[in-house]
Amino acid sequence: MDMETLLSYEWSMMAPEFTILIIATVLSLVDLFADKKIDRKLFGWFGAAGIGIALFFLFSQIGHEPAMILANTYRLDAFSLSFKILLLIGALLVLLMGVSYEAKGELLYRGEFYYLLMSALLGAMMMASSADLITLFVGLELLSISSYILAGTRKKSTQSNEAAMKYVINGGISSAFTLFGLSYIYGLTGSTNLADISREISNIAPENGLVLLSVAFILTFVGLAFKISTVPFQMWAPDVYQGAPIPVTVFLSVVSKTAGFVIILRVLLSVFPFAQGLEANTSLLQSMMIFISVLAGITMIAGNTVALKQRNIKRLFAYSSIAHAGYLLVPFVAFSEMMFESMWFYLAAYLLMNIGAFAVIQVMSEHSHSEDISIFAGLFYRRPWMAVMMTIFLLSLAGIPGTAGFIGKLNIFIGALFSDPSRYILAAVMMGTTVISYFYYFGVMAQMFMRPSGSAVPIRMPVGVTIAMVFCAAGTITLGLFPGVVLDFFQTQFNFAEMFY
Amino acid sequence: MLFAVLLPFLASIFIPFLAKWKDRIHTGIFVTLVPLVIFIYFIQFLGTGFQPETRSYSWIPSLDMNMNFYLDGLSLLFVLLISGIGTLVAFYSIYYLHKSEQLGNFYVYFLIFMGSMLGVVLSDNVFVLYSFWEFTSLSSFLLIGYWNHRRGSRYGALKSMLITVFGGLSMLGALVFMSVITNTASIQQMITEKSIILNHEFFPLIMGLLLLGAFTKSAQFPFHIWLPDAMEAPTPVSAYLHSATMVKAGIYLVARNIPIFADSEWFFVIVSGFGIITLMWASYMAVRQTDLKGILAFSTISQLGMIMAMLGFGTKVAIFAAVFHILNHATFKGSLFMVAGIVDHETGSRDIRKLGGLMTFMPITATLAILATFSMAGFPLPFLNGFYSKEMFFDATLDLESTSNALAGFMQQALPYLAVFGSIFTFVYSMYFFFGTFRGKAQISELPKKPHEAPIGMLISPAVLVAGVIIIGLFPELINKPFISHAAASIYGGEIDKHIYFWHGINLPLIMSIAVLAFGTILVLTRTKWEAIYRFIPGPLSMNKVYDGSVKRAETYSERITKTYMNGSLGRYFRLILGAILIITFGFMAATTGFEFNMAYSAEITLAEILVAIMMAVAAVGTILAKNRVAAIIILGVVGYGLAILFVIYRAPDLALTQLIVETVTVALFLMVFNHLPQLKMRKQAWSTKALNLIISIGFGALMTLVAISAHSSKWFDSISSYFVENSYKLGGGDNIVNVILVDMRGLDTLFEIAVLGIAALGIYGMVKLRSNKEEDA
Repeated sequence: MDMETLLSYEWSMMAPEFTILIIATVLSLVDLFADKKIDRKLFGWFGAAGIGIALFFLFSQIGHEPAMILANTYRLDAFSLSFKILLLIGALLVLLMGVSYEAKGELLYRGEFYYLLMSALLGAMMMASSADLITLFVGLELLSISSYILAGTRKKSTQSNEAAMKYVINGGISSAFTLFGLSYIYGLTGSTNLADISREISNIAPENGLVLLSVAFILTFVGLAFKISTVPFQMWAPDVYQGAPIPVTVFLSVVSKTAGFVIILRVLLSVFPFAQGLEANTSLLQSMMIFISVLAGITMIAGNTVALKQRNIKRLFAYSSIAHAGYLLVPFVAFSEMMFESMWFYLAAYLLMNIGAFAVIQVMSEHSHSEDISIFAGLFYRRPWMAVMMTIFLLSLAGIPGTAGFIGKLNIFIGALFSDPSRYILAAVMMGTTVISYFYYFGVMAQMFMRPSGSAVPIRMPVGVTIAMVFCAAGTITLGLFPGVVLDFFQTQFNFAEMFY
Repeated sequence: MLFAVLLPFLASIFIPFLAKWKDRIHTGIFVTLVPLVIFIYFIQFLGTGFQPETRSYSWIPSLDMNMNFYLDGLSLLFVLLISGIGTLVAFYSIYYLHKSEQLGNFYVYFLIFMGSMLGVVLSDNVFVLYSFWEFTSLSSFLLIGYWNHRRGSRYGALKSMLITVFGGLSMLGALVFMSVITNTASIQQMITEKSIILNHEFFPLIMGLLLLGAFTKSAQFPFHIWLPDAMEAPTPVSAYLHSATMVKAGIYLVARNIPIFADSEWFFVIVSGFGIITLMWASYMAVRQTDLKGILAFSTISQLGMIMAMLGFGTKVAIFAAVFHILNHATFKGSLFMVAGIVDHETGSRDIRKLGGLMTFMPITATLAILATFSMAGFPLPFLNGFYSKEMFFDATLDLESTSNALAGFMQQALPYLAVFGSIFTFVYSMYFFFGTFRGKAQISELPKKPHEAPIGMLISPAVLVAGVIIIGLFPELINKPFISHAAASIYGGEIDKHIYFWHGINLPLIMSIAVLAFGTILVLTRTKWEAIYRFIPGPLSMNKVYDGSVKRAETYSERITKTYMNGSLGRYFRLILGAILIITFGFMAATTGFEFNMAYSAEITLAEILVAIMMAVAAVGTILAKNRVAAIIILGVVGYGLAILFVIYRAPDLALTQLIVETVTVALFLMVFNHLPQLKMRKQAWSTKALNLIISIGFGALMTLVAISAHSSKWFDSISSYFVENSYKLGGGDNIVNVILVDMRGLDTLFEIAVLGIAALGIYGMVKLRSNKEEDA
């Protein structure tokens, strides 16, 4: 590789990534040399501005022809663009929450939080854009390792330490599985480039390659299931979510999960639809759908039933986020034309409602130094607007009309019935578990509206977290009442056929 | 029309501001205007020449969700009920709710409910209908829980929410299904394409899901249990939502879908069957109640059951009677609820055992009550509307279409008797309600307040409704042609020409009415003798126990799962993950024949290799059995050194050397780290856990072995080693191929690897130094 080829690359394609990289580097250097007295919260605003610039670059790229640079390892297409928007907005909201986060004496190195968040975001963006197994894995690890440290940023808290430890062990195991699976894909096709793999893999004769391919599939999927916390790799989530600082919990449950879905879509869709499946004229992906649908079903059931009895609000939302990952697998299993659209929309809705709900949780748990569900008691009579916003988030999570969550669920549901073959059972499981979820979501609502509040101390609402909350509430309602705006934009601007080579 | 639906929502935005002045002017006054305006707007449509109208407003075209409003006779009936009763209830609430209450919240919920309910009955688009439907449940939840300091309120609110929202969701399932197979989201279009739905293989499922939604909302047996608990709501809410409007949404849904489903025989069996059971069960249960509102709640349930049963019949008479009764029920039950509210408000008690003899204290209220109760009982007087529809109900049970279905045929035989049975108890509880409250001996000392007549404003609303009872009773034809006929026709799907008479001559329905009157009077007079039976039944059969039990069971079940598998133990997590992988992979392998075992590419296996392999296996097993960490690490080292020996046997001394060094360093590092860890304790584990662990580990080992063998047995590409043999001297100038690869062909990689190792070493050095510094400090 000489200078000329290096300069001939269209580097502007990576402008959003570079922005984030520069911000992360600058922040870490400033943190090292700047006076200890300087409030590190400034970093948060700086980072937020950086993400804003990155978003600007990203939006200017919409409509760009699909292109690849760096020896076809980095790809810009509708798929990567649309999901990077979610990643950036999610990270921006997490940053805003982080600025307002106070953990009495437990958060010793606040600066670290910001630049580790940035590097994790960079990893997630790389995952969305990569067109090569190696790049993909590097992105995955960049995200994972940053997150491991983030989970332990409350240095003096044993819970946070436990969370980080469990996360790193579980994460290590999952990476091992993924890597093992990917190595088989490489072994079978002789390439790490996704385009080459998709070409080569169709040549493998089913009579001798099927076992290895299926092992590759299963191990890759199970390993990646860790990131999206679905069965069988979901158990870490409650422990880690509970122990980590709330902004990190949000990051893990939203941004990291979105990245997980991105990588699953990217790998599984560029590799396995082209491989021969069990029966003639079916792809391996189709043959494997039965397993994924069983896993999705168990995920929805497990997440929702276990959440019923939770008193710790962070744990409750951890289980609920497991259940939502289960819902998100349904369109993947249904594999209809609407798959990308419904997954993207549900992820967007999930981003808004989950971050919003956690923002309220952060304010309330900081106020009362507790994470018990009873901290919401009588919220409506103390901070009516906050209670109304929390109600919006809860209704959206439960999938009640008028909110983004409802449109998302309806999309998924219709997709599951429309697809060929129809996924009736999975749709029924989704309905049934949604009913179960009403129990705990409405339980929180009952606390806010129907319990007397214990104290009259005014609740402090810091700027950052309030902005995040209001943004999420407005977004949830807008997507719920006028999803057409976003869906039409999505259909006209993003052509997902681009994803295939 | 869109504005009419949105008006309550828009108004609700201003309520919190208006509520700030509630000390000067009661917020309810503004709220009353909203339904009044809507009522005036819609009443213009009334008349003999009424034609259905449609209005479309696009909302989310990409999802086929559009605000398509369809106003036909049925919708008009409901719209007028919602706005008309809404006006009266809002006016009544001005006197009922004191200014010190949280009026703002109350009226916001109230208006949201009203708008949603209008949306439900006007939407032609199934998704929009569902959206409004859920909002009615939600506002009902908030209104029931309005007096949230009461435990009963919170319990009732959550219960009603869970049951109705569950029903709503299953209704959504049916609606989505119907719209997917007919490819339209409009109910009217579905009706034109009903053959697709009727002949679909999932038709029973669709109908079942839809009816589940209707039955939960309209409190049909066995889902009726939420309604009595919903009586914790302030009385205006009970009168409005839980009697006149919201609970009739299920009735509306069934009526709206009759054109689609009526051709199915099962529709009659299910709808009429549940309806009649509800009628009997709830009217019996009403007799047992001691709370005034409890009686009215069960009475509402039973009346809803009756309407539901009539809709199931599907004949002209039945549908006409159903529509007529919807209207009649709203008038007399609405006024009775308000009367109950007045009694509660003026005496401080709703317990019928403490009340009695109130007629002398509140004569106007008692007069209103007597008219409404006797109308409810179906007393044959020419100025009570309740009698007309009840008589038509009897008529309808006798005049059903012939059927070939055995179950349906049996039901048709039994229906007249069941109808009479249910009506007897209706008569009994009506009398019980009136005489228990207003007649008998007054027990003033038992009551929290000294009873007196209500303020005039509070009496206006029930008086208007009772006036409706009498006007309809005296001049039923007044509302027939311009109003009821249109509604019935839009359900039936054809013109209905029916006249309402008081006197039909002596015929079977009249004899049935007289029988009800006779048996009812006997039961009322001998009431004390029956109390033992009332107490005994239903006992453990109560559906409430089932609900409470299942909520509790779900929670304990959830707790148990949490304890058994999400308990924070990493070992357990890992066991589950590996178990899942095993099941999936072996499951898939069983489905394929793709496993390959091929020795063609393997060299011969010598004795030395076998011995080394055995040594490694023994060491691996030994590691698990070792009692302390140091021993385990050292034994594990044997596995690594065995590998090094294998490299030697395969003539790769450099690799063997690397392996030896790596192994030594790892063992040394492990020892160093483990020195700091606490003592390894052998934990006591259950025998079954150990066995499971063993099975999973052996299974996973077997899996990996099989995969490795299979991978080794299939070679599809030429080996790349020939390239290096050919080129390493030519290009790299070295004799040792491995060295050439490392330092030349991928020299940059090696450089970076060294760099990474160097950084890691620096990191470790830093950490060790940090630790020793700390120790010095300490």
